[in-house]
Amino acid sequence: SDKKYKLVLTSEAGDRESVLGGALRDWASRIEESSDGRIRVNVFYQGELGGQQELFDQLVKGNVHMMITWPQTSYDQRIGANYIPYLVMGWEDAIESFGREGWVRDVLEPIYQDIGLKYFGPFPEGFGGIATKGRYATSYEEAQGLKVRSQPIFPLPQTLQAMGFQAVPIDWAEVYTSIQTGVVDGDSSNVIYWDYEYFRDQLDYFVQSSHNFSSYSLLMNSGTWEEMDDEDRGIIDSAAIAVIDQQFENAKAEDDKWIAAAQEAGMEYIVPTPEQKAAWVERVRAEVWPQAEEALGKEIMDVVRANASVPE
Amino acid sequence: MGALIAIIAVVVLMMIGVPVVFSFATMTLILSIAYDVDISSLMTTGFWSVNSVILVALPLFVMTGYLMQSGGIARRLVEFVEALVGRSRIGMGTSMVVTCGIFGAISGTASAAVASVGSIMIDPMEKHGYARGYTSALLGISSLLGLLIPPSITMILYAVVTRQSVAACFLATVGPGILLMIFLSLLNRLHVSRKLGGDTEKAPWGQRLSESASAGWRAIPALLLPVIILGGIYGGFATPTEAAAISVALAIPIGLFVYREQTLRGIGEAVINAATTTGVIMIILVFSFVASRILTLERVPQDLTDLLLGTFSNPLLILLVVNIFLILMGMIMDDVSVIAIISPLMVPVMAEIGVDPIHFAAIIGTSIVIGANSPPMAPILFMACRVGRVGMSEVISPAFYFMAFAAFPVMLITTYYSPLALFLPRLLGFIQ
Amino acid sequence: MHILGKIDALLVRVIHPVLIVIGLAVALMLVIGILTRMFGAPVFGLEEIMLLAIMWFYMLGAALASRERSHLSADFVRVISKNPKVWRVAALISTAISLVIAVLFSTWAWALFSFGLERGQSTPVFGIPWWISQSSLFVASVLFIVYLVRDLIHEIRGDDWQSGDPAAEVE
Ligand code: NA
Ligand code: NA
Repeated sequence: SDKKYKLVLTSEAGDRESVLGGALRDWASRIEESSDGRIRVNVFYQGELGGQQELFDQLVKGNVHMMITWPQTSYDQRIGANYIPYLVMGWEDAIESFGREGWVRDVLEPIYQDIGLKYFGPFPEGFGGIATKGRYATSYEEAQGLKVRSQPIFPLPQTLQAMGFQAVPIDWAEVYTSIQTGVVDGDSSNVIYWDYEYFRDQLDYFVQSSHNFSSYSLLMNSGTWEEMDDEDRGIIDSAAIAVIDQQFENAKAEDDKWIAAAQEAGMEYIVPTPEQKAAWVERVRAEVWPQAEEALGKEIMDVVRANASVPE
Repeated sequence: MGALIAIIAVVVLMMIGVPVVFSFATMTLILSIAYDVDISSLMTTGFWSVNSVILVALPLFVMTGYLMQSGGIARRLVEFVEALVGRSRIGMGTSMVVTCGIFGAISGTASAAVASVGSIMIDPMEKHGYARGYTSALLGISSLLGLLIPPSITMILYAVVTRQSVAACFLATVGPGILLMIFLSLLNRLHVSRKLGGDTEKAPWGQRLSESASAGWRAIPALLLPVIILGGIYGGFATPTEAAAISVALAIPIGLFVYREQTLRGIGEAVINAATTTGVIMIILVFSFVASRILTLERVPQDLTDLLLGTFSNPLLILLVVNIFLILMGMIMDDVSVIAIISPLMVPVMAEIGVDPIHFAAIIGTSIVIGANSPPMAPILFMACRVGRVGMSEVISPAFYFMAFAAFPVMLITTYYSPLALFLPRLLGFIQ
Repeated sequence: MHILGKIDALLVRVIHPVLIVIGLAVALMLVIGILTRMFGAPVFGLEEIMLLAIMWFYMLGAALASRERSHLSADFVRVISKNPKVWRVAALISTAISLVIAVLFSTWAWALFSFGLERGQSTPVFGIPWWISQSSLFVASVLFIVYLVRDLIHEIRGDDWQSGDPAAEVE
């Protein structure tokens, strides 16, 4: 093919220096290389083209062509399957479930297709935790009275409430100030990288609750995708797969690196005991999974129940 | 090229008198044609950008300003400050400046101060020998303290557009705001002694003290408002948006039950006025967000940065160019447009020459003090003329006096002496 | 014009109370948000309701500003020229341009609204469809057109009125 393209690739999170920012560049440069510069990809980092909701809209409408994004539930509640708490229990389980042959992909791909998006695969980041200031919690009882910022994505706030925290919705741009002034005691559901990188002078503890496995999605607008011929699709797809494979290889090492960095910076890193974690898992699955069934449908939850592992 | 045509079109349309919102919509249209993007699908940008919890602070702070006016809160503040300065000739001018500053600590806009402080003080100042044109000009520029002293809707807009912390931006303009108060008070003193034949006698100390005490007592609820608003934000009780809601929730009962000047009708009118004032801003924002999104997609800010860095080697020179550019843009544009269109273009340049975005907030804030009072687009000066019932020709020269010798020096000091802006944000730990 | 005047009066009678209710309710919701957070039982989803409502507050406010001719504009022509003929020509041109743009805006706003209606995007907590607030832009654009037509008629007739003129009513 000799058709020329100028594509826009972005993400709602990830500045120039972050791993995600690097992945955006990687995807773009692989595409430009294998197309000999015929397909040009302009990369925009966090915040340059607007917030989460807007970007997802622009992706669906085709003004933004490609994204590596936390899946948005605004078009289809079922995307919330990506955020079901305690879906996977450890790294191996996560990599298997979210991987190219994994069952999570089978759930998500058709939903994306309905929204009008081509799904290439996941960009796993690691297990989320609760980062706090002053005190920390490893149980429902200890969590009483701790206010943590939560993304307003179903069922993340519900999960934190079930774990005993107070979930407070705050815009990412205001999280730092809110922690600093005490509107909230900390942040939740992010991998340690974000809490270290953005709030390390504010936060004292990171509890590896691992209630969510943070995984972005590599997506493209279906219209743009269908416009392309097989050769160009192949270029985009194999570039995406290379990015994904590399991240699966690196994600755990990357996460470990930031855990060490955070500890070095004076943040205390706490792993709940198996008993503590089991107690949280039990509460959350009992409270949130029925809600998830209502929102996402029995069909999806049957798949989840069939595949979700039992805590070790 | 498309960007240049679009900006020229905006300027021409505004000159003819096309309202800002339609001028901006035209600019957006031109950009969408020049860069071949589908404008109707970009409306989503306008919608989501305006659909922001942080921006909700805007109507609420505007509402507070109107509630202060109809609830007698503004009058208590004026009376207190007048008693403090002893009702002498110089004192009247000083008290206009200081009242605007205190007023600014409650209200987020300049227009509320123009309307309430102006209608209360211009006549008494005339009795003390001040010309109405002079007073209106002083009012026009002092009222801009409302956006330098937090809370400030201008700084909220800047924070939203450039994705900075509202609380940090609020702190950046406090230093420049206080400096502007000092400059204005000194200029007024100079004017009175040179042109009005000197000061009149101050009220004797005993009388001043007792009057201040009783006026201060009556003003306590009004003076508590800024303490609660800012204490709420920096003490960790509330986000800026919530603090704005608290200010509304307190201004209403203070007016109704403490000062007993507020009426249900007054409250209703305050809300409706807040709706039109913010509606005008938001609809402009819808289009300016779309326009600046197209510019970003086409990498115009980067090109501009490269151009500036390529042309001028010295960062101080670039800052000077930016200063002049901001003043020129401020003349032809209103504050909302400057913030919405110019700041995203300029922040990358600033980052490149090592200017903190919080410092730039203060630079742009002080430039707006000049812009809002420089014709042709001078909404605050026009409003001061209306409130003072004087013609433009009578205010132009005193307005120029204040801008040349107060607002402009404050802008330069803010630009080249960064601690003025950054000291407070640093002290409270918002930046390293 | 008589019937237009009646419609206008009715509109104002509807819009004013709607604005007052939304404005006060938003402040109240935020205060409730603070209090419930302080007492340990934060309510989720208050802010999405607040955002849905505030968009109508903005857009109806902008429409009212059109009615009162209080949209921000520069009084440059009146500063550089003392000739009322020049004023009139400038006013006619600017209103005509505004009207054309307002009509285009209504098509863009309609596209936003109909997309939302078709695709049914909804809020995260209560699942309320976003078109409820997206439609406010279209309503505002229609009201812009109505009041700009009114202005154009006045200007063609040669009435002299400036922005913010209280006489800016439909007779
Ligand atoms: Na203020
Ligand atoms: Na100006």
